[in-house]
Amino acid sequence: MTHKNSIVILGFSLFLVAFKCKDYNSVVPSYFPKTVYNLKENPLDSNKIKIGRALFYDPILSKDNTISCSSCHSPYNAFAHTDHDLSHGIYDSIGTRNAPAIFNLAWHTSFMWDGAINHLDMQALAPINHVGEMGETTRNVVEKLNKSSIYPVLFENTFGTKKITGELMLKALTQFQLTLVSANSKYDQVKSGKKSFSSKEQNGYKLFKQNCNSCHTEPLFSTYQFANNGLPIDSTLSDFGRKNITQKTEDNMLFKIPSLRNLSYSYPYMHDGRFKKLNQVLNHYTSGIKKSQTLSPKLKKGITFSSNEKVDLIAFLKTLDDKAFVFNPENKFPRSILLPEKD
Amino acid sequence: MKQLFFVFFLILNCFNSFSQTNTQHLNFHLKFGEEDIKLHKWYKGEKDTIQFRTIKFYISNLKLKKDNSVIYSIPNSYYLIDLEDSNSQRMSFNTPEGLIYSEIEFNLGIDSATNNAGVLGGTLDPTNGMYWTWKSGYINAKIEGVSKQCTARKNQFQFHIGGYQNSFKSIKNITLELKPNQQLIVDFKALFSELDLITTHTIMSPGKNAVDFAELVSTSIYFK
Repeated sequence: MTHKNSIVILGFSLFLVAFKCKDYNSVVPSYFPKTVYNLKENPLDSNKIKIGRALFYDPILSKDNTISCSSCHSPYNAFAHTDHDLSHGIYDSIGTRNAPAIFNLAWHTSFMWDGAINHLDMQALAPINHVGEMGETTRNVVEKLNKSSIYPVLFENTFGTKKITGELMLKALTQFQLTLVSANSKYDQVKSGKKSFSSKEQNGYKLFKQNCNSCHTEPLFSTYQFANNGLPIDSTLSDFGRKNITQKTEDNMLFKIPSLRNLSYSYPYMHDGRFKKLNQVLNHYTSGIKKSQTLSPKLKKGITFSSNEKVDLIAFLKTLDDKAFVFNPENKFPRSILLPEKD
Repeated sequence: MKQLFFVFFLILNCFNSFSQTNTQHLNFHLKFGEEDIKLHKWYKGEKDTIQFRTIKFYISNLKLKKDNSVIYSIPNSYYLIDLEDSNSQRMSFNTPEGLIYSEIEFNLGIDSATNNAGVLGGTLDPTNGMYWTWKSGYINAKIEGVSKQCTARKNQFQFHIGGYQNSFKSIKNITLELKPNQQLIVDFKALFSELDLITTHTIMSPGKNAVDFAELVSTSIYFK
């Protein structure tokens, strides 16, 4: 079978090229759990990461070359989108949800606020093909990449073939996204003994462990499972979350639990971006919970914080801001690839 | 580099000559009763007159059997049968020399493990238009066209049949006894005689309707 032979040859040529793997363990702290993403199936390679980074910032992925992944996932916002409650896409379309921050994706078991996507490799297909996000088709994007002046040579040097396929494009995008690891906040430095918490932060940490940690579990600050956190439904959106995907009544109003890392950069909060400030979020948990059949059992008995406790809790939450991640030059727009003439 | 490839080819060819294999073919005949289906041609069924615009479906995990037991599984067998591509209707596979089998088993659709495996290439590449983008999962079968009675917009029926999760698995396992001098067919006349395009013309997501439809397709595949 020629098809099989070509796979063998591809594998062999990959083996021949210098295999400059970015060592994942060098950026991931020892107290992080095992990754969900199987890195053996798509081993990290600096050249593949480079292609993925270019694709991430390149509006070629959208129908009219106006929208890139970074349009809604900006590095300076921990790869979230902060100007709007609901994110916007091609032709000034307004979406139905707030683009989530993206980091530590290797530990996610599903993607999207409702878990519609089952694997990091497949995630990019959703915005590319959505009429209100990038308005393209996967096939057309691949065709454009094959005709571009940048990508065929990059793919040939890296994957050993000039022919760009959906598979290779998505694998490259995954590679870059896997490198978006946020693990260098003050919390992380305290964890590894390099810094210590102030007394306010320490008290906030205690309150966090008592009230928040069962869903926003450290060190990732999420279980990445789904929960109804008691938000009253926005009747202009009628978004039932996880139920839209599973059709199960027990999943009504369940959304994916977001990480609490990088909150200072990734406002507004919640799936529909309804809260601009952390104070509003804490007030929701102390006095805004709407009881319903599917409300998380962990929220049924209510949470109480005094105003001083809220100050301390927010002080702790700010120790989860990872400035080194947000301003990491390796994660930024790759000018040398996408705009070489202006260098 | 070139020399290395040459040595590599040499080694590969040596292996090939040691292990004797046979390349075999199995043709899928897309039929409407006695007629071969062609794009944009009208076919008169029992209840309705129908034209096809798309017929695409996955056949996977091909196994060769004898006396009800599997004697050879074709590794990585994923075929995408497409009305518009006659080559795709000819499934080719290698078997060890001298293998005698009397039944074939395969899946109509893609199994759950493959659905969860991340991105794959070849016939499984998402650019083939057989992968949902709003919710992960392969479309196991895509059948689109128009019919005189179909009540949908522009009389178009669209069946995108998929779903790999617990209650709504639309993959179908099929075992067929080989019949010498007979053709492996998918009988769309039989399939559409079971459908009422006035009430059922659009299935685009996993669910009970998709599971029922998959069952109908699977019973329309046989040797004749």
